[in-house]
Amino acid sequence: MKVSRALAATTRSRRPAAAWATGLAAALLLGCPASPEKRRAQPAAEAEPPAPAAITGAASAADFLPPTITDEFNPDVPEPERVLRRGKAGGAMRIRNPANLAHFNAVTVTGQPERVVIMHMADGLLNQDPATLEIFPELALWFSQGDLIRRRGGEPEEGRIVGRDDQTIQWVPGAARVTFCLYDAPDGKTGDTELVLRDTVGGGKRQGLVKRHQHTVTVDEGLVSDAKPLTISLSELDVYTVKIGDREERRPWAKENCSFEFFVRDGVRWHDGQPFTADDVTFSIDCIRNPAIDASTLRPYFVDIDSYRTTREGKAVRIHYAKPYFSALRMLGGIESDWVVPRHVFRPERFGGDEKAFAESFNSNPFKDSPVYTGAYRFKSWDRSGALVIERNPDYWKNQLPEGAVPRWYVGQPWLDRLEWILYQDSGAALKDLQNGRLDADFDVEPTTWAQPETNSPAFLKLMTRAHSIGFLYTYIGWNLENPIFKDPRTRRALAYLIPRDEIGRYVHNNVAFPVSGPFYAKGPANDPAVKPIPYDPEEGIRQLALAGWLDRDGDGVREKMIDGKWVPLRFNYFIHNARDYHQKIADIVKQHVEEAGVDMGIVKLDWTIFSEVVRDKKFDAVRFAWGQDVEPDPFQIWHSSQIENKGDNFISYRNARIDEICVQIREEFDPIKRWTLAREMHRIVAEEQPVCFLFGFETDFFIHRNLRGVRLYPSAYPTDFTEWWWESQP
Amino acid sequence: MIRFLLRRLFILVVTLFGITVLTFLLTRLTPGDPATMRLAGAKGASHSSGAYEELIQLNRQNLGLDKPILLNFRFDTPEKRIDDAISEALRDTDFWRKSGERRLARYGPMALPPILDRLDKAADDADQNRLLELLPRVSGVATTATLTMSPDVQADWWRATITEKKLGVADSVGAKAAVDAYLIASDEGQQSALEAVRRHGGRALDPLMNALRGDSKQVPRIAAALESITSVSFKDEDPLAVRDRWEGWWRRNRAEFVDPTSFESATRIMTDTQFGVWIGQIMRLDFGESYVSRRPVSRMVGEALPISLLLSVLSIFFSYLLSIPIGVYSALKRHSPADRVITVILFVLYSLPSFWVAGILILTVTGPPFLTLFPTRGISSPGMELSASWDNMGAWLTDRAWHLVLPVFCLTYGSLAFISRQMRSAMLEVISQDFIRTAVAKGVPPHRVVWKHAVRNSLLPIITISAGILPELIAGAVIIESIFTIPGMGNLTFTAILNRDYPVINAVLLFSAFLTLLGILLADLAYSIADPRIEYR
Repeated sequence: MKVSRALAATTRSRRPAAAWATGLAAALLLGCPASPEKRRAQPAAEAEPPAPAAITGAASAADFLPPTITDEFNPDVPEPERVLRRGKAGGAMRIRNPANLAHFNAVTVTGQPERVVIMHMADGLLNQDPATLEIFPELALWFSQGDLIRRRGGEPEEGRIVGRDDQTIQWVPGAARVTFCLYDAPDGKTGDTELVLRDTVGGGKRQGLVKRHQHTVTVDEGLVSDAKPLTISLSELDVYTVKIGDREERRPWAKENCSFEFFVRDGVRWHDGQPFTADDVTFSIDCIRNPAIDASTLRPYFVDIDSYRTTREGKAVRIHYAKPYFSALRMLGGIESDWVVPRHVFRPERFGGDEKAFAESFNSNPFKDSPVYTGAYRFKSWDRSGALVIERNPDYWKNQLPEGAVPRWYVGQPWLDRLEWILYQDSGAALKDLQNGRLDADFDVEPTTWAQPETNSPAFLKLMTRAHSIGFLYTYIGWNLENPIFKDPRTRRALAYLIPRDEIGRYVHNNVAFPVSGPFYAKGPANDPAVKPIPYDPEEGIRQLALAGWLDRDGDGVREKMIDGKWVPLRFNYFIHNARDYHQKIADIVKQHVEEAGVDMGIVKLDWTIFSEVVRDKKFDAVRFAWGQDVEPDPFQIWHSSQIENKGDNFISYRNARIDEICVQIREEFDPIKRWTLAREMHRIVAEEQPVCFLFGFETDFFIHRNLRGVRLYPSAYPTDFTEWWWESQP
Repeated sequence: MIRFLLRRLFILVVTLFGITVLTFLLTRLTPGDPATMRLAGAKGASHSSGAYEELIQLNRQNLGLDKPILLNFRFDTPEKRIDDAISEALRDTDFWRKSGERRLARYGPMALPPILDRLDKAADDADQNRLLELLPRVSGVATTATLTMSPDVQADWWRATITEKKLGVADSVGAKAAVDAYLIASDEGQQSALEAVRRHGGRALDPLMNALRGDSKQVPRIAAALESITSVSFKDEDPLAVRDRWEGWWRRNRAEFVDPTSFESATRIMTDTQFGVWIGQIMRLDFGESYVSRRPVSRMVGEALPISLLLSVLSIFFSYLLSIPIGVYSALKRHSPADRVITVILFVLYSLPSFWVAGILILTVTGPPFLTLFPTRGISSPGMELSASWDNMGAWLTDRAWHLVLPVFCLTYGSLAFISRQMRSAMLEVISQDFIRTAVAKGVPPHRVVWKHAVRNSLLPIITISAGILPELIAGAVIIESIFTIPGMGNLTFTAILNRDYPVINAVLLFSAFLTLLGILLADLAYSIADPRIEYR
């Protein structure tokens, strides 16, 4: 689920133990090993087999993502590795849960903590390696991506577009890019060849361009030398319109990457023993698209499905999308959020087609309070004011397959027998129970607790590992680009030089914040580590202001510039809201520093409820705000010029033709390397132009019991996967 | 006395009604909208910029928040709904187009005149094409004749065909007649009679439902007709069960097909509003379901209330148990060193804020590096609640008591000072009165003078205070509950407010108000018991 986009009220000030936190963050940004203070040796040499030779193009995911290190923060592990080894089975983990959980119906659930629990109980059609972002089949045995065309007056046809120009397309009907697990096509061949499949996937062969990756083999049917694509003239094709903001674009009906097929595995059972089938998948899509069912968070992603049906005698699901969108595969795969629920529990047949009655029954079905899924853990018990307990699923399908058949899975996982989430609303109480052994981990550590001497004392450190990740949020100062003062990028750059980020980070955010240089997640593939945040350099700032034409001509301490024939003073109002005290502190520091450079800044503090209105109505000069982030970049909503009107998210009124192009291209680019390259280009442009002054990203802190191993914190909205963790020795 | 009670109960109900209105208005008029909050994470998902707003609207509808708050002057006739459905079918996103199309398909030929109307006024080609696309499904006429025609010619063709086949004629008499004919048709004529009924589309539903209430032998035939119009089917062998299900369906969907009577139109101005729905639910003591967890609110309150009451009762019990003797002692040994020391201690306790004391207690007596005497959270150990049975009742009770020590302490100590000082001054006043001197002179033993005569008379102010304490404690000591993770009313209210969980907020506030008023009434009654001089009329 995407983290909330306008999260201003939830930025929290943080306090780390030492400067190594900043060092580590900077190191991650730079992509090199962190300072020796906290790190022991360099990560051990690759113990896994070297990646197979034929990788997609020159670049690979490893070039874009920082490596994930196992047990990175645990002082008991002298040489942390990149790989994840086998663990020891046994034991339970008691995790702190800071707020009441609502329920566990994956279709209607709205909160992120609930999704974490569901994630451990459920599988998706696909899965993603959180360290490399490679997508591989999970509940699906294999999956395919293809294109669609529709001729005038006809029905959509499935196949691949292998070439395209202004007048024609080259079309191979029935072809697709099919992805299998590496285990199912083991002969190691690559290139333009025949892919021989194991009996596990029904045997047979597939002809096409074969590529091998870390977990999967892809075969591009139709991309072979002796394929004979049909040439279809664009005039034969129907047209469809795409709305980008208020503008409508008419495109020929040749949609790339809009056709997906998922072939469902045999032998998967729900926790109550019933078999998992493709009907469960189509049923779940029916539910999400049923307007009367409360699927409010999932519906926006499923709204663009054109059609879906079961194929291959009910063993596969074919889905057509209305427009190409790279996130479609992730959503359908259930990577971000699991969404498949069991049909046999809800029994829609009882309602005879009455959608509304079925929706009512679905929304309040007791399934939500004692759910049934297919995953590694199954629901055991739930005392709402006490503990939620999920226990190991003894019949888990992944453990009934040979070792290596399922990517990223050791037979015998999950190592922990039981996971318990216990409700602790008070963080002091949680800290106490960490110390007296009643709690094993806390993933919602507050900044004040993190900085407390008690949690940095030797007694505590003997018990707990202090770990952290980076939150999916960044703060910024947005310049209203319709204001003539901010039109010149040099002015904006100058102001960025004048803002003392280090000082603010130290005094206001207690060193838990680190400066960011762009809008993308700092540990993610879209963030270009070569782009540095603008440093605090008041002299450079003054010089830039002068170059931009801002000089104090009348000696009143405020610079002026001739704009459109008038002298305009460098005077603006900085808008903040009152939900958090430190916004005022930041504003004061900023004001103090910019005033030394001849800028007259006023501070306007508004009530939070009015604040959002004022911002949407663009009645501000400069505003301090924040955006949520995701690992994968999708900047359209915030940065495209079409989102300026109608109170859209582009309330700074930023217009840049190349950025507009990139925003649209990213959405439709299915090759992750190309997508991330585009995003990095955007990062460079935006860092150069400074439409906003990028302020900070923030650490999220965790306390984890020191005896736990296999702890990997991924650059993901769900950084922890407890199926990988185990007890080195039970406490 | 009875008259007094009745009068008080009447005032109670009126006050409760006023409070309901107030809390309801407050929740609806304050900013923060549950429908928007649910979508907060998903803004970037769908392509069209308007789609997001539409989805919020859908959420609002599902939560019942799209109705007007107090008075509803919208006229939701079937005509208007058909119009809405057509607009929906003309939207950009496929999701809405299909949804609108499905709605129109249910109306069947009844929706044809409005569609043709819209066709005349169609602003652009896209709308015109879309409306033409809808016609085959809505009219039930499948044809390939229109494939080669231009849109204008198509439109004419459809108009001609619809008139010729007499589809969707706006005539309820004709619909009834067709249904009657269908019911008495012979087996061979049944099919064509059914066609005649289907030509009226949704308009035939009302006469069909009326007929359903008649002879049960006709139920299968009527059900067949209903199925063919609505595409909903209830398969059951028992015709009465089928009838019941159709009755249920009709109850839910009637308003879409039948024009409201003037009585209905008049009443729905007040009843088809958020407030009207709420009051209707209150009358039936149905507090709805939580927006967040979809559990019945009455159950949530039913789980939280006993816990809060337990805490409150224990707290009041202990405060009185301790305060009264302390107050008596202070009064009797006035100005002695003991009295002064006690007074200072109590005032110090009174000035310590309970949340701070709670924090200190958790810090010092629940774990290393200090003492480990009490648990840090909850009212029972994890797992205790679910494994409770008669066998381990003893263990369960001990566990409970152990968990309650700290929270009850935090709730109790503050009122010790207050109550004991009140007791002290009341006692002092009573002791100085003549009848006490008489009793002492009479030779009544001192402890009887104190406990039987003096204390009884000085209880009145204490009872007044209790009327004030009870509601305060029922409100749930939000902070204490939050710090100790106790699932009581305070916690429930607080979480509900953060989540804009309106049903829970409304129910909890209503309940608290009720208990407060009840508490005051009970206090007044206790007066009359404690002091025979006081009498109510």
